[in-house]
Amino acid sequence: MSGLFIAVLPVSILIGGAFLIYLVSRFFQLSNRFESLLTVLVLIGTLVALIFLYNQIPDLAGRPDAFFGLSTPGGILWKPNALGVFILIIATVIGILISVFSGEYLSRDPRYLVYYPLVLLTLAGLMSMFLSNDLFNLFLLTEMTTIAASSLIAFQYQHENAIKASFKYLIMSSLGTMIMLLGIYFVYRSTGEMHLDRVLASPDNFTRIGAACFLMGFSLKAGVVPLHTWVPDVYGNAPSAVSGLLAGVLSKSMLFIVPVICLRLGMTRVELGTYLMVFACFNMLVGSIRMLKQHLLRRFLSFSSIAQTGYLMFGLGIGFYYNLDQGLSAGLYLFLVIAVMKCLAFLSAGIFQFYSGSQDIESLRGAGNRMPITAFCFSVALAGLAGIPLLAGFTGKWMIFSASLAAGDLFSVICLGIFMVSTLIGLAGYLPILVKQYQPPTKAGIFLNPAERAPRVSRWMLAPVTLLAILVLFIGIFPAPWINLVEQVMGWMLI
Amino acid sequence: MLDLVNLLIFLIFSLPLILGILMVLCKACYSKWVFGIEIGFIIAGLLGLGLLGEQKVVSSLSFMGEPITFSISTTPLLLYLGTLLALSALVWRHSRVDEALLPRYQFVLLNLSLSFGFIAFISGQFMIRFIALEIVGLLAALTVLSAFADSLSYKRFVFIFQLLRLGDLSILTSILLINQHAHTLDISQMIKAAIDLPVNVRTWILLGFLFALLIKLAVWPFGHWLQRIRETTVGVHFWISGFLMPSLGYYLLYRIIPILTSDILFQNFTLFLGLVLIILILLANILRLVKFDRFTQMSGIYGCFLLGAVAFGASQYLAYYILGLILYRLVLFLQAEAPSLMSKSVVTLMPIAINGFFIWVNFNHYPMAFMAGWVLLTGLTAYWNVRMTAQKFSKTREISPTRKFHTSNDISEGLILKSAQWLYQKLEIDIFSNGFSQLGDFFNRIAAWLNTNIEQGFERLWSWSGQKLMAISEVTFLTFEVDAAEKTGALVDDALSSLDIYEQNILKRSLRLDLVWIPLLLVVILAFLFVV
Amino acid sequence: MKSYEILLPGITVLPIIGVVVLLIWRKATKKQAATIGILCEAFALIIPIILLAALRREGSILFTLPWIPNMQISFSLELSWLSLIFLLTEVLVTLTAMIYSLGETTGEKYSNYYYALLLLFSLGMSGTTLADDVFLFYIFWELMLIASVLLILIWGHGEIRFKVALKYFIVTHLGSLMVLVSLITLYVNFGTASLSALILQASTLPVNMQVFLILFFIIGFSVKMAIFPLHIWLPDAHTVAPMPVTIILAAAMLSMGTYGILRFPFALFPLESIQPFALWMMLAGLISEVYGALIALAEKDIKRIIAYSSVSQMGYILFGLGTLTARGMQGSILHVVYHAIVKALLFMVVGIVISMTGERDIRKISGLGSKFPILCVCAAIGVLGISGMPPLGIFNSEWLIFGGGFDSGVSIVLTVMTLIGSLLTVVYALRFFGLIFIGEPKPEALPVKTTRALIIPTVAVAVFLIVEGLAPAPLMSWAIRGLTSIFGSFQ
Repeated sequence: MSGLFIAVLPVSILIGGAFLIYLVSRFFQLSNRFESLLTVLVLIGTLVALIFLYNQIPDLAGRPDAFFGLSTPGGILWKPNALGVFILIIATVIGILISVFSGEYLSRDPRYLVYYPLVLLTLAGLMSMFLSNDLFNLFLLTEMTTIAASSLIAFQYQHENAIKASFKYLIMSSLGTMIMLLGIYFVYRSTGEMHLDRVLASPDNFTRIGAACFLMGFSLKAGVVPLHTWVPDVYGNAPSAVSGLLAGVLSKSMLFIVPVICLRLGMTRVELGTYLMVFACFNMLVGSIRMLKQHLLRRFLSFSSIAQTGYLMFGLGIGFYYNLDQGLSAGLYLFLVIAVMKCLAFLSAGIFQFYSGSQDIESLRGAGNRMPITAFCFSVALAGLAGIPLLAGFTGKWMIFSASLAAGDLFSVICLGIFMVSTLIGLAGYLPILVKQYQPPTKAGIFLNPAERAPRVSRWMLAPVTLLAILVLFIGIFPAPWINLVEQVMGWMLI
Repeated sequence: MLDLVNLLIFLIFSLPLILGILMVLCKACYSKWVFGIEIGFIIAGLLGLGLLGEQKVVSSLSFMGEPITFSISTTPLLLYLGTLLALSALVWRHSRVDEALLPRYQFVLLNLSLSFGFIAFISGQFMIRFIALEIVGLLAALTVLSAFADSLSYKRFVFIFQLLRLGDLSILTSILLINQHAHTLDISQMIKAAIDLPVNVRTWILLGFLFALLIKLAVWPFGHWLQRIRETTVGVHFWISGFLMPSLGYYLLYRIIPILTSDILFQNFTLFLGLVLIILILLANILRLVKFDRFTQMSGIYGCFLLGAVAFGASQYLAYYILGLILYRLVLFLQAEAPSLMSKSVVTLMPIAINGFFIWVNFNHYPMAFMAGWVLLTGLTAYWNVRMTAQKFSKTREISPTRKFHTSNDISEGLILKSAQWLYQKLEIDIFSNGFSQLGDFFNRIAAWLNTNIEQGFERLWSWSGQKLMAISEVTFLTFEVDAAEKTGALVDDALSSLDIYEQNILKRSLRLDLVWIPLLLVVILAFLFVV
Repeated sequence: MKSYEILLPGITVLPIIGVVVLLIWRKATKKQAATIGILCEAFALIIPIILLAALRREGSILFTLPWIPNMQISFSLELSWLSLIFLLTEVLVTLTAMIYSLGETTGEKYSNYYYALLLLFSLGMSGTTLADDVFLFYIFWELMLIASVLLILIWGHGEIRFKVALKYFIVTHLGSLMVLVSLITLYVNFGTASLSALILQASTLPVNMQVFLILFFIIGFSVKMAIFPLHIWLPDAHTVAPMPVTIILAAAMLSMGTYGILRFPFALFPLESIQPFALWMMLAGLISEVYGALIALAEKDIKRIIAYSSVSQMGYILFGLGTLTARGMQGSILHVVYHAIVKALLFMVVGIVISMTGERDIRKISGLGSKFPILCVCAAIGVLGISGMPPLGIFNSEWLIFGGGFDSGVSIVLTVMTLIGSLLTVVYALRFFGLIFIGEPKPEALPVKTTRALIIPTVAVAVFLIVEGLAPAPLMSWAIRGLTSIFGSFQ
């Protein structure tokens, strides 16, 4: 192995940390909170490494040896790239917040020992997916991510639905990954290479088949209609923190691997753009419409997530189809804000479920009185998802509008129309739920323990939620530095 | 000199206004003589203005960007004097009959109309004149209101106000049309500019003015407002609607003569209009079809005479003719109020004298045919006047909700009777009497129909689309949520219970819809990549 | 930056401070919360008056702060004569509504949130009039909407308020989206969000794109102005909202649509591009006027009668705007102001009637005139005012609008029909007055006395109407200056 150790440092910290934490906690019989703290420490270390790596990227851009691993055929390769590192920084921050959240959320679950390592492993898998520069590595770590994620989804195994959801996810993802393996076969068959840099030199029909396979596989993991059916089950039944991680970062980031891989494998930008825009329309519509009639809060949020994936795809699709940088920046900026807002939404939903014992939307009634801070943060999340100005989502909406109107084509305008319809329907979905929090509870009262009049929400859960809410407000009022960051990443990507 | 004029104008305008407003705020604390002194002062002021000569006064005030000007000339002053004389007579009559003071309400209305009437007469600018006309109209309508609890009087008020407002709107149309071309609001300049306008615009302008005049002069069939006021108002403040308004109408007609005479078509039309209306009114009255009393009818008829007279342009002594008409109204009024005071001969002979004098003085001005017709119609009118006196038309004080046809045993011609009945039924009852209330009903019906069909149609449309959306969501919910969940549950149960044979069965497993999508999508993408 | 320019953001910042204070001070009683609200609004009123002298010198005052430089979006506010008129109108209306709300019963609990939301509502409107940046404009525009939706949701009457609020939000939002599409198209084409810059360049766009943009602007803003058939949100929203909110909605928020039309399509594009829309705007105005009046005639709920009367009056305004003449547009601007005063007056009267009798059905109320002469006089002034009686205000603006209609060169018949249509206003107004105040008082609906806090603002507004009607000169000169800044010199 030669090359840049820094490229693989974050992953090593994560994987090493995962095993270490498990051993230490097992050996010293640490409590949930202590283990959560350890996880946070590990993640902070990873974050530092990632930031360091990020700052190095401009220097590394031109160097041909800026990778870690074997560059012989069949060797695995890690190569840092700006987009990947940026997404991973976001993922790590979300991971930190989730770990803090889980410090209280898992307090009733005796199996917390394996939880944190699994989280770290999932993140590690995600990290490698972005940092790896060869297909085999990609495949391997996608599998790892899938398995770790499935285990996490089924964490509350006493609920049958969790098992079923995890199973569904596992089956579908595995099928997808199998097809990706098929794609790898085609690529290898045609070029004899698995290193993405070298494949780029000679794309032909077989690599394009491979590209198609990868596109489909990652679409499945991202939750693109019609392969989205696992999304509501998974987000609805996994532990809330896990849903936050999955919905916020994991599935959306798959959309960013797609261009990196598929474009190198011979797919043209226009083709990719068309695919993204067409399926974005489906996503937007399906997500918004099916959101309206949900009874369970997290399932509702999952459909909202499908719609948000649609918006992301729309932005990226415009960027690729029309070669507009605005579209790509819109997509990346949206990813950032959606990650924050979705995580906030799921974590708040988790707090509600934790203290009321039910996922039903009707149990939200009176939350404004019982848990005012959480209700406020949830309102911020919902309002941000709806695109209310001065919250994070609005600037993203503005950027999508700008990008599609800058394209000026009939196709983009039609998709923009669908986008507008979707946001309108979304409004009709978010608003009643936001209001429900402040409505008085009905006589029947769905609370399982009425003694919990005004539960004191644990600080472990409240802190990340409040932090995220403040972040949403901050990004909304001062979007400039974040847009700068996104543009910097975009600039570095073109290097 | 100018300062004196300004001062006079200001005093004549503000004195009644202040008195009127004061009376609103504090209880009656005036003596019998206040009103008389006030009128005397105004008359003196008018005479003084008249002595100071004809002039145009530009005040330092302006409203809406247009300077407020006054044009003092003999005609308006004369007419206003005549009207004030009538008022004095009314007041004198009231003091003779009634010991009590004028009620506060009447006093206020009279004062306000004194000040605004004055403005309307001497205003040199059309906008201010229009404003004054509107206010006088409102005051005239207010005279029918008696008490808060009386909703019938309020209905009358509404009818009168709306009719007068309609007239004002047509004046407004004409004013704005002229103003658009003339770019000035000065009345003389506007009239001069109006003459140069193209014919179709002038037609609109003239029609607007004529329609308003017909209403203001209470010419049948637009005189219902006056009739209603006549029937219900018994105080001095009848002066506003019975004397001031028509005088203002006369003066307006006097001013628009240049427009009338600017085209032969207009002259003919005005002449024709006057003629037809007189004949119609006479006919309707002879056949006893209308229930207007003599005051209203005669003033209407003589208004039509005036229309005919002006059709040939301003002639000599026209202003005096109008003054005569005003005085005749006073005579008619007094005759109806106190028959003993006025001898019937005065009532019958006075109009003949006025008309005759006018036509004699203007012998050279009018064509022969016109003069012959004029004399003939004057005679007919006088004849009918006599007949009316003989039949003692009594004044009713209540409004009859529907005007019943009044049969008379004097009419013997059956055919004329039948056609008259038909005409009466159609015109008077159906159109002009019930018509107005039916128009109101008609509007109410349209409004109600619109309400149910469109407004609530929107409501229905909204709830329909909302329901449709919910239905779509419901259907997708049922299809995808419930059914799919059941299918998933069944399949996963199978898989869970037979985990050991999972590897063998994986390819033979009945593909669920969502699993089928995976290769399907792949095929789609491949097709897209290679075929398209 | 000159010293007085720093005052300009004060108009937006002070209400925010008020909102923050109110949000923190949760235990505030209604009086205390109202005091804070009124204080902030009073400041928002004083600042433009202070800046008046500077405005006279300079013609317009600009305040800019960079906000999102890489998207060319800045926080810039501009005070021009046009925005001054609309700003003062809405601040005065909000002040009146706040004073009025002291006598009302809504907002006893959670008063701090109530007045905070009222302040936010007003902030949205003032920001809309002042914003010189399209991004900022849209934020304030949405803020206006959100604050009013929340007010309706929380303090509205009846269970139906949830559906009504949702409908209001979605329909109005649809209009806002159309405006947003136009705004962003401009932004994207010229790479800047600053309105001042866009005004200089927008006429270089190809003509069919200009037509498309103007169409979207006009339709989007017509939704806010509640022009038939886009008015469907208005009656329910006005009926369900608490009275002070209804006052602000009807008197001030509807005029924001007018401001939008003046500020965007009229200012950005040359007259030749807007010309094709003139006839349609006038026609839509006529239809709206007649329709609103007819429905007001048929309605039985007193609040809805006045609500539909707003639809009718907005028809006049759109007619005036559509004439594209100096007089017509000046008349429209004046009509906005006068309509605000009269509408506030009428709604305040309606509010007092409802609070006294507890009834909203006009068939069940009658004969209030004899017992409450002051209220009766105020209502009479309001009713006469809306009928266009001189010297009350609306006569002035109607004169200008109809004059503009004749000036515009479109067929005389259209203007004449509009003139005759104004008779319908008289009909429903008089019917409204008569049914409530004239007649025998119904014994079963014996009214109780009304509080001073309700009567005083009503009387004040009635007096103000008379005063403003008698002396329109300053308002007219401001309007002309505002229009000149948009169109240059006039024909």
